[in-house]
Amino acid sequence: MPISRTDTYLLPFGPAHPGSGNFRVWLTVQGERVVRAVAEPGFLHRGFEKLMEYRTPLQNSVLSDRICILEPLSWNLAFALAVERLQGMEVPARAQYIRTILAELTRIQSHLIWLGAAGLAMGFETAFKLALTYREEVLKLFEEVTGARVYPAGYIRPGGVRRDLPPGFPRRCLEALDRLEKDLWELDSVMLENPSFLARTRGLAPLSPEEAVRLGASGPPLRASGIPYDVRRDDPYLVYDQLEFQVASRDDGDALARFRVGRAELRESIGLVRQALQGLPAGEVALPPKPFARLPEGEAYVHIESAHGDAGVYLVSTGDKTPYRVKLRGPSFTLLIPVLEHLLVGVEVADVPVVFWSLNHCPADMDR
Amino acid sequence: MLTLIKYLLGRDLTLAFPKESEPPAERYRGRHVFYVDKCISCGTCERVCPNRAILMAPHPDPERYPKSYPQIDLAKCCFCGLCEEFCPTQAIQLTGDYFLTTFDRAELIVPPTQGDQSVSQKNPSP
Repeated sequence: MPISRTDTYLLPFGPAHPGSGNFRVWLTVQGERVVRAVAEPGFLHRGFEKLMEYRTPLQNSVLSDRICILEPLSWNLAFALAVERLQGMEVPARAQYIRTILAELTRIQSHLIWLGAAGLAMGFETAFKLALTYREEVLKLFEEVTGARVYPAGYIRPGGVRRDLPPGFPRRCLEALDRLEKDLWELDSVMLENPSFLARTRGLAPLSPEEAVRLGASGPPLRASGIPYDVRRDDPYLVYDQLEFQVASRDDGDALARFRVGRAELRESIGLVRQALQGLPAGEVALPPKPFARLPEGEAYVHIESAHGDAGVYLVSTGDKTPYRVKLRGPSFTLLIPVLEHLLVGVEVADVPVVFWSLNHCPADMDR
Repeated sequence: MLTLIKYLLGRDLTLAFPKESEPPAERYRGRHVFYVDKCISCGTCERVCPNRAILMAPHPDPERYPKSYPQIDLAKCCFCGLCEEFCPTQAIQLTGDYFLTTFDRAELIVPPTQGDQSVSQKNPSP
């Protein structure tokens, strides 16, 4: 019996790896090949589900910002929709449109960070800088509307949105989108259509449609595997049923397909914001907020298509001021544990960050 | 090559921070200003605060202000602006002042005195 095999190592990827985020995967490597991957989540656990039991819905909508750093407004939206379903509220049409605009702008900046960070993980540092420059345009719009660049402090909240759009916002938003659309070719040329990028990602870690469904993938990785499932189209919320958009999907299922789906979604989201700005009706933006009202007894589940995938909020209320139980379904949970563990087997060590970043995840919403 | 020339000849994309900075947006949520004469001591801000950063505390000058007034712990504050929004008399307002770094935690607990004095003077105003 061999005392030790010197060709097999246990290699941690993260949590201090520049490309891993607050997350660790234990890789069993044989030479350069990964033979087994075990995810170790929990580095970013903040206990939102418990914290939310001690706060009123209005306070929770401020808290829901922090669930995912890359897309606070999506989680604001999911939480607000859940409370509205529980209370049976009808939100004014203008608020619905403002929410749609902000949700799509969130998707744009989240996808930009995703593509940029993927570039950084692969050594395309120019792509990272470019993507963050583009994201800055969107963050400026956010600061103008919500009062802060990243955390909107419950801007989208039960009953509507906190304040109306500032005067002149539609024009500035359209200008920013035009600039973004004009400049995106730079990102394509240094990264997404770059031959060395294609060589590294084509055929890497393919995910078959059956496996994607079995492992519970959602969002861009699922659509890249040939299943065009998108909550915005298949279970419409807000005003998505009145807007025209294509659900980007590809059949290859490899890392390249996932990035290309993300790139196509950027284009679709820009189109969606334009349509929503065009259809923006006048009127009220919120029902009068009642900060200390009791929640009606009952339960509600709402899911939305966040930038990372199918994000859900489940609320149970026993008629108190605070919810009795809140369950958050983070899309990254299934992407980072079962899907990543499955995809990493057989991959070379140098490609681990590429596979990791191709999944469009956020460790924050996995750990919650 | 074209891109290189474009950026070489273009203006700088960054700002030399302490001397020049971009003004925050009009809605920016920074340090609070508290107007003690407007306050009616209703305690709504204390109840609505998600982080319990506001404590209704006595005023340092109890002769003139005998009731309790909001004392804000900026270290706990998440700058959501709910206190500003639900204050019936606009006694609390959030400003564009984002220079909040300090060496002493105690400085972050703002007593319920007239607001304009509590705004820091040591940092350059934005």
